[in-house]
Amino acid sequence: MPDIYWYYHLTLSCMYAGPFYTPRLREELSQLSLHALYGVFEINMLTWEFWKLASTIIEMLHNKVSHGYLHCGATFTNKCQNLLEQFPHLITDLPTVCFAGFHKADPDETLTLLVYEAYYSQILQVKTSNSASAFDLHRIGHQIRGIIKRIVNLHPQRYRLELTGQHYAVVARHSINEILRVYSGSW
Amino acid sequence: MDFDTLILWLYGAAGAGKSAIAHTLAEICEKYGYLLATFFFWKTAAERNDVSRVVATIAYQIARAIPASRRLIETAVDADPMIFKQSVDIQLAKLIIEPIWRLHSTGVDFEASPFVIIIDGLDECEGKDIQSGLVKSLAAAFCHCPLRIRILIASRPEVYLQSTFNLPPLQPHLSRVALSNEYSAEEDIRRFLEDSFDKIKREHPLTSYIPSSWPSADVLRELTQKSSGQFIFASTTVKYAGGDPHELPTRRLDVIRCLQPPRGEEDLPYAELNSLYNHVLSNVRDIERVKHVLGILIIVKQMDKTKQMDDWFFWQPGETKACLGPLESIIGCDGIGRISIFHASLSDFLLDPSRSHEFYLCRESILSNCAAQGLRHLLQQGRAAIGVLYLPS
Repeated sequence: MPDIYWYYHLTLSCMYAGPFYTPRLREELSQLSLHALYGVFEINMLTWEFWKLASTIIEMLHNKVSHGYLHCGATFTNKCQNLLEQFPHLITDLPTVCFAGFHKADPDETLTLLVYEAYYSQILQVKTSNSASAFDLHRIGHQIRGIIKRIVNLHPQRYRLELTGQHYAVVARHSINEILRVYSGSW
Repeated sequence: MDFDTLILWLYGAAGAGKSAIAHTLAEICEKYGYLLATFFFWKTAAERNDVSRVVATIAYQIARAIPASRRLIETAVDADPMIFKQSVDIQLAKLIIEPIWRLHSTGVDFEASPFVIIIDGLDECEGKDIQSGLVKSLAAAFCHCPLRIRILIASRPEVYLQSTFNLPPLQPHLSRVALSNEYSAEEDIRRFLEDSFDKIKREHPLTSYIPSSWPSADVLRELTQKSSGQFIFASTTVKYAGGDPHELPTRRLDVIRCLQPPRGEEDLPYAELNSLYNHVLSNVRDIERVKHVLGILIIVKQMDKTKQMDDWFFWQPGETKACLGPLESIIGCDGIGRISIFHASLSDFLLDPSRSHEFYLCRESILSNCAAQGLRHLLQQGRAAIGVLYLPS
């Protein structure tokens, strides 16, 4: 039986290929719980993959809205409103899952790094070519940075994802591991 | 080939060249005086897809091939003008077997008589039970015939025909020849294409406009590869290229290779191939299931085994194999359940809505449904691994 990683890749590649909005996909999305999906990926230690997939789903829906496939209004506010109307559970799930993962005792590393990057990358001027960078920006795509913004915007109370000491500890741990990985060959 | 048995079953995938072999054998037998009768089933011709015509046609040809039998056959028809409405068994008995026995009892020597009956495209006869019944009737009727009959039956290896030909009573009277995938027909197809294009260059009215180097070696190679070892693609291509005396074959070859558009809606480059695929697919009971499987095979390309498909669609074990059963002439499953499409041209057909119509595979829809199925699997995997741990908040 294929593993979860295989299903993840297949699902993601099909999403990327620009699928139509078929009744079958609509049905699946209407029943999908991002909360449950997060649990599946978390137990397999694939939270990065979860955020990638979740952001792809939201992006896909957003694109469908933008291109009028979901018969939404023309303005951005209207589009978000329609997305909310058609998939309220996904739109409310996403910030909930995000905040839950961010604020749990052992914060979601991927999310922490994304938030850290979103807040500080410009200040630190971290570049992908810099081998001493805090973490690999290749892994933090434009798409996922966008999702952070969207998550915050979608939150009913506009809560921000505030970094705490625990989060800085996660970033530090990750950075040390990355530096050790990069230089392990030469040491 | 074992010519000592009553029936020789020649079977192979659609387009493998069974009819070409049957026709050629008929010509050879005719030339040497062996040919007693032929019947070529054709699915779309009402007079050629009906079993009720078979015995009458064979009896008529026997009357011509063995003149002494003519009066006896006519007498049988006069005695029962409704004979052609009777069952195949009764028609065989009254119109063929009894006249032959009568001739035999009067001392007629059949030693020099023609004895080969060729029946092509049995699977194109209307009704699966009728096809099986015809095989059994022929075997029963001719197995003790004083005339040493040899019957060649060519058909696709449909499941119900395999079951029929596997019946124990038939075994002493049966031999088989498979036009299997193990035999590489590529060289034969390349030669066929070369010969056919040479013929077009010699005989086409616009021959003076055809370059001597046409078609190039690359084009020949492309067409040979696209044939996938099946003659039907090659023969369809050649027929179309040389099929219009008022149009340049060079242009028509470009049309069939999709390098130029056809002239008008009536100009269908792959009409014969379309008809073949449409016929095979229209016999499928649950076409939506088959389209799901074909979509995964042709568009998603991540799975090619029946078990993988069963798991992917949450079907019972064996359901994929069962739903592909009616497509045995164009799609095969090996011992480990690996599914293979015999014809490369099937993908082109299914991905072109103007050719495949209701059988069209919409790439975006397939991918969309695949994404939906993937999401379902991801959640299913989680449930399987951890029980129902996370519920929607």
